[in-house]
Amino acid sequence: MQYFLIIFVLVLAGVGALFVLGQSDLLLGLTFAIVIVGFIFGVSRIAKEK
Amino acid sequence: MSFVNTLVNGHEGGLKHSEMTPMQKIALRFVVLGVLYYGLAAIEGMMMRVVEITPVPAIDETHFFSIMTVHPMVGVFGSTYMIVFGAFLFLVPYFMKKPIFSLKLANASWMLIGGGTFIMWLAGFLFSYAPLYTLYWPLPADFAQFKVIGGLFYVVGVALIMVGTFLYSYNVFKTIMYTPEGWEKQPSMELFKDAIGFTGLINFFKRKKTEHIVDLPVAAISRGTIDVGLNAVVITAAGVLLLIYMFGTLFGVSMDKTWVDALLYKNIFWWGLDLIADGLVLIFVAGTWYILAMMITGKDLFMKHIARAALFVEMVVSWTVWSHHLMSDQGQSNFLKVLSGEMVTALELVTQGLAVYITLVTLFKARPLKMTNELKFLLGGLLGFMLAVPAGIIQADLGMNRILHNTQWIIGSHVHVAILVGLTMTLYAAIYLLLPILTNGAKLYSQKLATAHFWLHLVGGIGMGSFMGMAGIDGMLRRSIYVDGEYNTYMILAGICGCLLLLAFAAFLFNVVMTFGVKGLIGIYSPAKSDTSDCVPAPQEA
Repeated sequence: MQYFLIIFVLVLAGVGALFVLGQSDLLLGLTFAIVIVGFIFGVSRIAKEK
Repeated sequence: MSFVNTLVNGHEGGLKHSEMTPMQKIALRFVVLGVLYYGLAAIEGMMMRVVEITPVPAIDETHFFSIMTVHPMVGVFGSTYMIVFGAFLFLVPYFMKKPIFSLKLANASWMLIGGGTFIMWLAGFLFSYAPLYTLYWPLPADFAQFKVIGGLFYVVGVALIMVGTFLYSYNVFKTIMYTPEGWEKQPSMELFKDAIGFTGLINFFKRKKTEHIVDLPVAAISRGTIDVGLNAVVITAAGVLLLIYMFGTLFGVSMDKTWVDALLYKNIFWWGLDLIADGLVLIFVAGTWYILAMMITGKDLFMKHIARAALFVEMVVSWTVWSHHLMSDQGQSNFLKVLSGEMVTALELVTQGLAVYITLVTLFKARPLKMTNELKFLLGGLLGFMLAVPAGIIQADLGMNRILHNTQWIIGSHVHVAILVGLTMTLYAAIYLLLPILTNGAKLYSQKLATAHFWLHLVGGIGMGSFMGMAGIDGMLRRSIYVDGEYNTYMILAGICGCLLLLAFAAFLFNVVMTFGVKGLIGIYSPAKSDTSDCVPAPQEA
């Protein structure tokens, strides 16, 4: 279930980012990186589940 | 055998659904529903083609733009996702030689995606919900022009599709990594790393290479599935954002559209959407070509290590390529326009070119080959991407984009040739190849109809895309209705080619119905009698 929880957090973070990022290219780039790394981390947690 | 008898019972005994495994039934449930949604998208497309030739009273502007809103969603999610997911949920356990992790999750996926597509389609059909035809903020949240109820149907439908998509991705990765009952413990993390390409990446820097433990087809499916999941995260986030504005409107709260930066929304939205267009399509398509080439020839893939590496590069490229959609946006940084928009996009010519080369050489080295339906359609699919990818690279040039942006060229020469000829013909190749495996050897009703399907689809797809593209070069905008017949020559020709596509689909559907029989088709959706976890039934002992 960690996979789905991580997705849930990423979706909420994505929506929040839309309201706070403004025109900052740096923050925008960081958001993309966090979503990619976060999602792959989420998928890797599937391996740990019983 | 009489026509009615064949129609009801199928050709030469039709589809014996009672002998099918649960896995075969699930794969066919996805595929049959996906094919029907393709038919719906084709009819919608033809309705729009008619209006582009001449205005008709039955399809007014509101109706036209609501069709335009749901048409790509029905095509992408209702049809392509369904067919691809059905095939891959079958092929991952088939290639890994282990049972799928969960049949229940697989069943839930087709129900959610199929049901969600229908609810999303109702938003257009019942409530003429149409702001998404341009995608750009703040139009999707404009509830002065569009009813909130339509938006709610739309978001609920898309949400169900996304839940089904997450369940699919969970099931695929879990199937790769889990240890079935009674089996020796599987190296889950190693399987995960190899599936998504980490092992190959580390191997690049190591002298002593780690051997791959995941087959190339499964690696291709895994990398495409990463993009599927990332795309679902972005689309779900966009849906939640729209819900916030919808509930704000419903409860009378004034929510300023400028709270969200329009350019930022467009960047994030296109990043997510391009994970479908430039990510999973190209990765899944390349992976499917490799699977098809290996299964058709019965031989190993040519340059398989390069192919594996190219699939990883394609996945990374797909994360950084979105800016070619924002080349005409004044506010977009020039750095992103050149680096992401032009340079990274051009890399797709290399990765997709490699996939075409590897597939063709694999086929060439296995000559003589019989020109079967799957081989014909595979060659058609290769041709489609050989036309559509360069068309995409041409428009992803800052100079050419000035001329081509937002014209019929984009949606015709690039998108429709890529989807209808490249992607759909590849999927048809997979369907023709998997048909005997999924049905325990059901015999195709008519080879002549299959041949007609091929030629009508190929000529119709390339023709329609080309004539739309020619109109685009002459200045015809996309997402626009021309009422004075300004581009009628091209539009009539595109309409004729659209009719060929519709005829091709009719030939295919008729052939499938006559092959399976109505009883067989209905039987696919009844519970399986066998409770085996194998993909195909065990061979009968003599």
